[in-house]
Amino acid sequence: MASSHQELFLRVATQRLDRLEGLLERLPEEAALAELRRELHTLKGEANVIGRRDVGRLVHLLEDAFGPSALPRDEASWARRLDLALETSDLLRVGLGDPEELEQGRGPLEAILSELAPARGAAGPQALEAPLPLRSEPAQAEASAAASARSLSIGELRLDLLAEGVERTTLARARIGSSSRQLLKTLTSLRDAYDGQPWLKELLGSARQLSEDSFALDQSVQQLSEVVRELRLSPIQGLFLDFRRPIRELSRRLGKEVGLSLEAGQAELDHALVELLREPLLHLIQNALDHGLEPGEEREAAGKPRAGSLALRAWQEGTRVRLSVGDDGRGLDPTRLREQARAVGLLSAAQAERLSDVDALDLAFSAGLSTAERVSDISGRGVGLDVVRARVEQHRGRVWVESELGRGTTFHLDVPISLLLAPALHVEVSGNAYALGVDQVERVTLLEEERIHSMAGRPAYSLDGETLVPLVDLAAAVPGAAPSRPGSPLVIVSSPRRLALAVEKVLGQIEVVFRPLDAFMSGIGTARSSCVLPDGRAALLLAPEALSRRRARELSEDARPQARTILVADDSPVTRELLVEIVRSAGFRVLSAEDGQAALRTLSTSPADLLLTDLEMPILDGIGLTRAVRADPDLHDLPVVLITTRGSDADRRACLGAGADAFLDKSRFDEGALIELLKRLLA
Amino acid sequence: MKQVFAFEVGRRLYAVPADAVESVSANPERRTAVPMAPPHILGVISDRGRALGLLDLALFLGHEATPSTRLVVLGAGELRAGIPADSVRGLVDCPPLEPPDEELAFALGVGLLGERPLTVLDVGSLLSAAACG
Repeated sequence: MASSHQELFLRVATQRLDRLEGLLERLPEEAALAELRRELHTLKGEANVIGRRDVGRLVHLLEDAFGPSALPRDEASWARRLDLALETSDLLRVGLGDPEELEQGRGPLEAILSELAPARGAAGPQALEAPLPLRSEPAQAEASAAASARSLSIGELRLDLLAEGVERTTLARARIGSSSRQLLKTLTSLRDAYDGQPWLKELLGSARQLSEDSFALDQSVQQLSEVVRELRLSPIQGLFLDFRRPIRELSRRLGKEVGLSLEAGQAELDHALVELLREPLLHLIQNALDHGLEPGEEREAAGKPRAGSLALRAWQEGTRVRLSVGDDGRGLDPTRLREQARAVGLLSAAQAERLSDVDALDLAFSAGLSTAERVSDISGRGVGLDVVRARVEQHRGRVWVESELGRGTTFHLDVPISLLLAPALHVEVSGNAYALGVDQVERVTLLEEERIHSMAGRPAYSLDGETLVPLVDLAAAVPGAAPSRPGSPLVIVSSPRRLALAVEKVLGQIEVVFRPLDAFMSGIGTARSSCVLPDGRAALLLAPEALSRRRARELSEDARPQARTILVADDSPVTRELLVEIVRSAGFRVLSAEDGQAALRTLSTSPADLLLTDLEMPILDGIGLTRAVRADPDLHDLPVVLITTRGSDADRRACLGAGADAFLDKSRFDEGALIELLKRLLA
Repeated sequence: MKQVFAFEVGRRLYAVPADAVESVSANPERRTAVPMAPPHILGVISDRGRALGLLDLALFLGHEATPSTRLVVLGAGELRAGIPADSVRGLVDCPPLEPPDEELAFALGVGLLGERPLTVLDVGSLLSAAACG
């Protein structure tokens, strides 16, 4: 057998194992099972044809282990069967290239596998080639396998060259388009002075032709770049499957039981990005296994299932892909992060105090802290979360973390599907050119003074009556730029968190290629990549989220802590969170409850100095809560502030009638006034 | 070090090893400021499709900046940056060097070029310190 056949077999068989592992994930789903059998059957055939009887035998046993009469009957045996199949697949991967390795490892596996399937008597290999339904024609399968192998052999390098060519053509066509429009405009303006001149007519004819041709070029280049973009896409499931071996090895090494779930559906990413994300994702996974998940005993003591769970997910959102690495472990402790940040001098005591929980969690990504964690030989290899963030942001991505103490931690990544030519919004501040990925822009509006508020001591902007988002003025981050005034363009950024970014000018949409900043610039400021504008200038890709984070840390007024406790009751998590932030940042201790009854429960166990409650809540509303407080001998003099959305006179009367001390109207909500009121009532 | 590349920034004379100089050109008029960057980072310009960072050497070393006409692009390993200069002397014979004062971080040594004091810079440590903000 010629060695090129061997190579082809190696490649095809590896692909089959990839698919096989993907199918195993979906079991016991009927369709997946059927396909799994076909896949194994075909692989066995291929192995025997190529002369790898050893591979064929093992695959045959595996096939039997998933035969109709051998199927597991309960969940636990399914889990064992899958493990066994994965182990076999692992061995096959190694054994495909190294028959000796296979020879050494196959004994025990074969023994277990052959026990699973009922004996087929002395039928032997021939009888096993029983006809299977559907597209399992060996010749056909081989042909299609060969075809897919051929299509892979285009090679990444050539694909990159192709992409680069398309990129350059696209940029050139943009320039041709704008010059031809300019030419046509100039010639048309000459018509008055030189009307009827044959040379002018000729020139105009040529210019029109040029502009039509450039339009046609435009369309075909667009098509071409779509094709290249698609060619470069690679399924994320493949990347996820690659993580299974390290996950298994590491959890074994750590002595932790881990249930893994992989969900990538049909999500795809540019192959270059898949490679770029491999290391950061692996780091997050190691982090989760090592630091996130508790040892089995600790979990059981906390009333959790002994086996931890690790979930890798990916899904597409428009032109971006979201990925997440989540565990159900001990979670990150914002208080501890605040303390650590203070200990390493990253924040002053006052800054740490004022930092919201969300921002405190974000500290996990700062260089000083991510490595300050207990260093182990697994994830303490010097690659910190700061490096993960830098790597992701370099490629127009974002990474953030959500965590609930005792419940688990989820790292979220948001990256563009493609690294090629991207549509961008060109904005400027005092002559400096910046770009925003169009996929992160929700809309552009104008800055209105009356919508500017303050949220936890920082500027915020009211998008509609209800939603307040952080407000960032780009001018504040650019030296020598005058602050934006009402009427300036305001870009509403949608991901990962909504925020409003004030700029001086919005110049429109451009198509550009973003490139990561070089080693010198990559650690400076908040930008991580740049592009070249059609006029040759460099524009920096803005990272509004990073800007907002930096501003949040800069705001460090000393707030004298007041040890008074305020209970915040509101059924809307958003409003509740907002109120908690405001009250906490004013230096109060805060308790919170999600409805009136929960508030009463809290009050019965934890003393509070003031109750700040929403009017409309399920179970027990604000009026009912106020009445209950007034009727309780222990609580009857507790100051109560009611907040309503409607602010009608009837509401006001009802609130004050129930015994509230003060009444606030959400539609005219003002942070400063609230704090004033709280201080007055507590004085 | 037989020859060094000398240039003037903030009315002071500096030099770097000749092999650290990538190019010399006119100081570009337009550049893009980097949001949240420290003041010694003047911004970026486009250099063959990539962004090149500009470093204000005078400001970084704690001196007063003066208008610059030339741009000296320096490189050391992976680090590259453009330094706007008042004027460029070009390659000169390296004078005998004394070890620098402790205050002169990033200097390989100091000497006299004619009558004027000359500081020879260590480009690698200068750029890596400037890159850390």
